[in-house]
Amino acid sequence: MEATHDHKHAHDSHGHDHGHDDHHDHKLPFYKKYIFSTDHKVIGMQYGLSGLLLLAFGFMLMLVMRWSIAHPGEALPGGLRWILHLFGPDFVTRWAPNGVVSGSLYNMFGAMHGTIMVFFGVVPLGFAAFVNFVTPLQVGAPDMAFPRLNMWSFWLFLLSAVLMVGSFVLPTGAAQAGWTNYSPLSATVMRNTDAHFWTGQTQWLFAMVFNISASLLGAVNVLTTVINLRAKGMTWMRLPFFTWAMFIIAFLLLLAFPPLEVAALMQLSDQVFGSSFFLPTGLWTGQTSEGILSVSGGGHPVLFQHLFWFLAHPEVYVLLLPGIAIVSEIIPCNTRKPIWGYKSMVYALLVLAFLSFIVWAHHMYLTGMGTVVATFFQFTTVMISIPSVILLTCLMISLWGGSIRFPVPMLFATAFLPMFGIGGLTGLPLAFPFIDLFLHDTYYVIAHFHYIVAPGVLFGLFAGVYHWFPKITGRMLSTPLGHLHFWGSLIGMNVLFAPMFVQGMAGFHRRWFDGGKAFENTSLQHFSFMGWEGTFLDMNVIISWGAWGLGLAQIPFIINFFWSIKGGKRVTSDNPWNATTLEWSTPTPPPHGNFLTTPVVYRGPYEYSVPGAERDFSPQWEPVTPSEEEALKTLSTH
Amino acid sequence: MQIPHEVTANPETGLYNAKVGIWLFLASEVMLFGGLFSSYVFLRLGADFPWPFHELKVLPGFINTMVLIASSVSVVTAWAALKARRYGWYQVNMVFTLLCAVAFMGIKTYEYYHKFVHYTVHFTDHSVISGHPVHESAEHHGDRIAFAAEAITLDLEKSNLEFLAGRRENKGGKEPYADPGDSPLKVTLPDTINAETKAVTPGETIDLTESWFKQKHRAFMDAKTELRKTVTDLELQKPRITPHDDAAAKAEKEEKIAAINDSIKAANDAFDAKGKEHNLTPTLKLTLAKGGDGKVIPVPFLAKERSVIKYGAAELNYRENTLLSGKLITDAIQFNVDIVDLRSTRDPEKSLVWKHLGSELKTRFLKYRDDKIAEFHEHRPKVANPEQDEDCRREAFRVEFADNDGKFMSEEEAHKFLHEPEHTISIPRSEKLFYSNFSPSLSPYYAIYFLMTGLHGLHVVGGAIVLAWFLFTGRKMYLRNPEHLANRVEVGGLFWHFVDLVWIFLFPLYYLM
Repeated sequence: MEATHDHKHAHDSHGHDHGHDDHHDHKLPFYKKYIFSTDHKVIGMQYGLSGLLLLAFGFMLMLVMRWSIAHPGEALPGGLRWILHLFGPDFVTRWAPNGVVSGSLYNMFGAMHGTIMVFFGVVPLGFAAFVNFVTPLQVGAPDMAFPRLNMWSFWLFLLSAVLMVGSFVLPTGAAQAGWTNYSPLSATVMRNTDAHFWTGQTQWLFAMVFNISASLLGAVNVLTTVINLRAKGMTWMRLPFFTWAMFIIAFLLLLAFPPLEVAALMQLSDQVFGSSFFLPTGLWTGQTSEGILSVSGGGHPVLFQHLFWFLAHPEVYVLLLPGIAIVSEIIPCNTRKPIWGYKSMVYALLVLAFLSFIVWAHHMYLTGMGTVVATFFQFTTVMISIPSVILLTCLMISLWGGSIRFPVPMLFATAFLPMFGIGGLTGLPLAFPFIDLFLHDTYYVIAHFHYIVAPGVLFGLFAGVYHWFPKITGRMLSTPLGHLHFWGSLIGMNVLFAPMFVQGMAGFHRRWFDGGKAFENTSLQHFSFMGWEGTFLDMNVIISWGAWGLGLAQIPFIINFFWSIKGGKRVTSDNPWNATTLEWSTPTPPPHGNFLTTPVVYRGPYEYSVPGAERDFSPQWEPVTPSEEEALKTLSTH
Repeated sequence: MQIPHEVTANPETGLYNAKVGIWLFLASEVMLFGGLFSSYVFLRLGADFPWPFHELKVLPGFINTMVLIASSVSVVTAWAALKARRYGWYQVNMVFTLLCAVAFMGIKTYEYYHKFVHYTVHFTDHSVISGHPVHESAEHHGDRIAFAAEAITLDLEKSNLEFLAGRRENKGGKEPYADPGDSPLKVTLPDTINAETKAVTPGETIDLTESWFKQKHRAFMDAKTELRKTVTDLELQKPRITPHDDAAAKAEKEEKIAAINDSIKAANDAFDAKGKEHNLTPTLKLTLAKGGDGKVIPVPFLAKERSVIKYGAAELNYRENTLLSGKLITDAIQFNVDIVDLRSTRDPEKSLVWKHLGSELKTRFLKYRDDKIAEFHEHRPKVANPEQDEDCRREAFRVEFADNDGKFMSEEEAHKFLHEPEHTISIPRSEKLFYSNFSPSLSPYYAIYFLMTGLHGLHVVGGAIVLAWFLFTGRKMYLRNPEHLANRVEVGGLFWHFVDLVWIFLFPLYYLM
């Protein structure tokens, strides 16, 4: 389409009475423009690149784990051993003697895979990167409300990431007590080492405290921006659903993270000052030669779980809502019709956010909380499925009757719906304590939440990268490479995760570093699938092939991403997808300050195929035309 | 480019950006302290030990409450002064606010210090005493484990030489634990050291230094890494037997695997042989220097209990796997008492405490207990079984020597118990269940007390720094746009009120309830 604004306008929102935000990018030195930048778009890209890198890193840890599961006792092949060499020359000797993954290494990689993927991969990419780049543009703001705070937020996050990844090189290695870092295991697992003060567990906690602080700063910034910096005419019900979702996520982060910070500080105190917040009286551990631990005791391991899951359940929505948010932008754009049930979706989102704070203990049925409390959490958990289903249903109905086109972002967006559906629906049984007691900590649970966050959320995030890449760089990503990426990922993800449901129901436990080899003679269970017969143990190999395949499928994306920055096809319009939200009204890429004229919003976010309109999209920044008004009148009289 | 609504309020919300931001931030702070208060309730309700109450002196806490309330008033006055464009009055009020912050932290530091130098011993029968350990000196080992070492076994992979900080010198007489100063520790190497490669003579006496140890550590780790590489390469050459292999292929592969296993064994044997030759075995036993009579002169070491993983009559094993061989001198804790607490012990009359404090004090304690129970019964006759009542037990089974209105002992006598050597008791570590100062490690009560008050203190410091920044650098902004400075002080003041509010909850929780 043609550019819909006048580029010759000066920045009419300029002012000169505030020194610290007087950042004219053309005058800034490189380090201020691209490294210590206060521009929300650069910070968004910084988060995005860091998030992608850390996702790749977390993925590599998983590849090593999958080798250990599928080929227990066998030396890692050269390609995978190379990953271990990243952590120094002695790392292999210490943790993978003879190249064979040890139990400790598996635990370490398991804990760090979860931690990095959740807190350092998906959240920075899904929330921080997209919210930073897109939200100020969508609400019509020149930047975030607090640009300098925004920069601090990123650098605190980066520091936390460096601390977390750096913990691998400590003499104790990185944390080994799972991504949940439950006490008392986390307090005792490295107790018998010389470095009883500064261990991988301690550094994990420090890194988390910085990460949480970064999230809190970011959340305050996003909320203030949406509350106070919306453009004229941008009423709450004209906000794009993406921004609504990010707004809610920021609230979740703001209110749910502090209790985790409390838990991290308490655990840090247990590690460093020898306190017993989470250590019961008379705790004996075979992992140390102390026998009964020389601590006061009197604390409660379950208290940690309460504090952890009070964050971590809302965190689930922090992980998945960016996927829904992005898909909600892409589906109306590529079906050329308004999103179905926009208001229902917004209200569902609000209900979902509220309920997410009162479902946490469904992760803790095994603590023996009693039937009354368990029933309450079962009830709220089932309740929360209602708004989730409303969101998914609205998105699916939005496809109905649309004039659907399938560019790469839409491929990912459409695949997101069933994948996310599988993940969501398989979670429902886990809401019931009597089923959860059987499935808890099995591969069923792994499959369930990976369907949510891997083919679910990650597909949403990939869709977002393909969708907004032209706005960020002024160039399109290659479609053939995008197809390779999409189809490879879709197949890889399903080969990887679908068999886990079966394994889980057969009782395979998520923490077995040998994939269950030690128990192979305890069961004669076989399965048969499309003429292929084997034991459930054989599934480990199939699943790992899915993982290798998924890894290979990312290569086209990496090539595409970096090559297209300079070599991709140039966009010929500021609005290459013919979309309706404000970010597409800016020049490409958007300049510092974003808008050349102060944006004014005249209509809702998804006005596609409006009766009476000349084109099949009516952007938010274009006033309602007389012919549209006429058509509307005609419709209302009928 | 200017961010809208930095100074002037958005007409729609009626708020400028920073005010929105600070309210949101305070919401997260409410969740932070909410988590802490909830944890307090959780820990208190689930405590399996007598939850301490009325142990903190109320007066310092009360003064601090007043100090913070006063500062909250002054910060508002400072803001109002800016609104009225009275910069001088603003400065006066800000200085007052900052002085309040300093006073608050000063009182808090005083309270903390007195807790850190106060210790508690939990006996194996759950009797508890508190007081002061005797300071380590030339004559006293204090609360350390005293061990006379004749040999040191270093773990070449894991050891470090930090244990040398506990080395002392026996100067005889009253000075068995004198400071050795800078004099290096002489040790004799084992006879198997290869002189040619390691540049030391077998059986030679050397100074045990950091650089010497690092060299040995590196040599060992290099050799081990080399071995691992060799073995890994060999492991990777092993063919994988699959279910699709026929018998012949399987046999061939098994043969190859067996050959590789032989090579691995050979590599391991070579490493062992090299180890014997170069003394690269994982441990290295060093003997301490001998005297003129050819006997080893034992060297005293004072070890912190936390740095030791286990010890016995003839060995002491540090956490980092260094082993001292020789003779345990004593593991007793030398201690002066000021509180006896027998709430958790099964039979106070048979408490281990009396073994050390004597029967005279025991008789006094039992009388004190009975008097207190009778007193309680008089005041609360409806309580059927006063000895089971938490409040009664707190009064009757726990006595602070210096704080009992003279009913147990006089302040003068209490002072002697706490400070004079004739009242120093020596508690064998075998009778000790747990030992700690009044720090987070003492109990979950003190852990959460320090965490909550410590975090609150950090908020006070943080808030004071921000307010000080406004005070010392605000002049320029005031001249340019006084409203902007007023906004900043308002935002800082809101935070300051929150900090005050948290203390309003903390004070009754810890000092009164």
